[in-house]
Amino acid sequence: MRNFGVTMLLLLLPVAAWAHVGGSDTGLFNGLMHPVFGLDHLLAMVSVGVVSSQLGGQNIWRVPVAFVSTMVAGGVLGILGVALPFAELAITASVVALGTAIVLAHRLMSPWPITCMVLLFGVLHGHGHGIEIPKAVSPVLYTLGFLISTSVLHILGVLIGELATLQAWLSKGLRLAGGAVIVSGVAFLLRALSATVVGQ
Amino acid sequence: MNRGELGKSIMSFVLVVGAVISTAVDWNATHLFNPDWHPHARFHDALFLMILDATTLVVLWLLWRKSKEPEIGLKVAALFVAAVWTPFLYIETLVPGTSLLAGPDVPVLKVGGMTFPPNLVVALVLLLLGAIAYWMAREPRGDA
Repeated sequence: MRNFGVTMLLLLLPVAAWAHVGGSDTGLFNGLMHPVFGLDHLLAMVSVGVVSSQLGGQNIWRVPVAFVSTMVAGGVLGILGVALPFAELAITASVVALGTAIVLAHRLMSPWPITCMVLLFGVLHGHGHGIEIPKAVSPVLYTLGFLISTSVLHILGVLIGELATLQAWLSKGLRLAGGAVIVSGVAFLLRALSATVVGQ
Repeated sequence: MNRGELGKSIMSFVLVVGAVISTAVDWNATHLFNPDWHPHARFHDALFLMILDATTLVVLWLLWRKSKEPEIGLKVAALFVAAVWTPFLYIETLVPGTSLLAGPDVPVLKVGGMTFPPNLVVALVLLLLGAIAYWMAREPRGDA
């Protein structure tokens, strides 16, 4: 047990080495802006909020919380430099999947398939943010920044979803918007595939 | 989760994020432990953070406690959010020699020729979310 404790402390040493690097505003700002200025991330985060609203009830907070929770894990993996195979492709595929979810989701369906999907996507998007952490910024503040930004985008999605419940035509419009998200996701996917092929 | 609960949840998010983000950004070498700051300036920053965090807890309690007048807790929360975040819009004008930027290397958001320091962006987003949360959570007015 004591060895385990010492091992854990040694594992934390890199974190200690990250302390007091860069300006706090810089780390937080980079973290806040990262999800907003990546269109694939932005669409996915807002879509998670929309879908959670469409599922309704307690899923309005459960689904976004699931995403943000696994996003922390993914972010830590990314910051530590752990490579996930085909992560970029999977992130773009998540946009297609979440767009499809917007088209199909409704209050009577089981929330679990979408929740499980969102848990996985949280890891991927968190990894995407973590791996692109700028040098010389605090990883804690950077992570805090992208978590807050993501949560705000989820709330924006929930508000869009709730607004759509006010009128039938708005609800139909939302499903059409889901279609547009799918098309965007396919475009991101093709671009990422091209980059992967060219990279090889 | 009904509309009122959703509004209160968003208001709680605004309150918690406001306290966490302020404490996280200030509790380091750029602010509270900045060797260039006068000790009394550091004292005032620490005082502000302690008051903000403690008052946030009180407002969260007011917002969620069982009450015959839940509207009051909600109004207090909305006014508290406005009181904390609107000064970011006018302090530079009101008090000469102050700056939203903690240093020359702080990145700013540029939109259409206008520059937005990160703390101003946070303030604007939280004010907007606070207003939406209040609108969602307030009791609908009857016709009587």
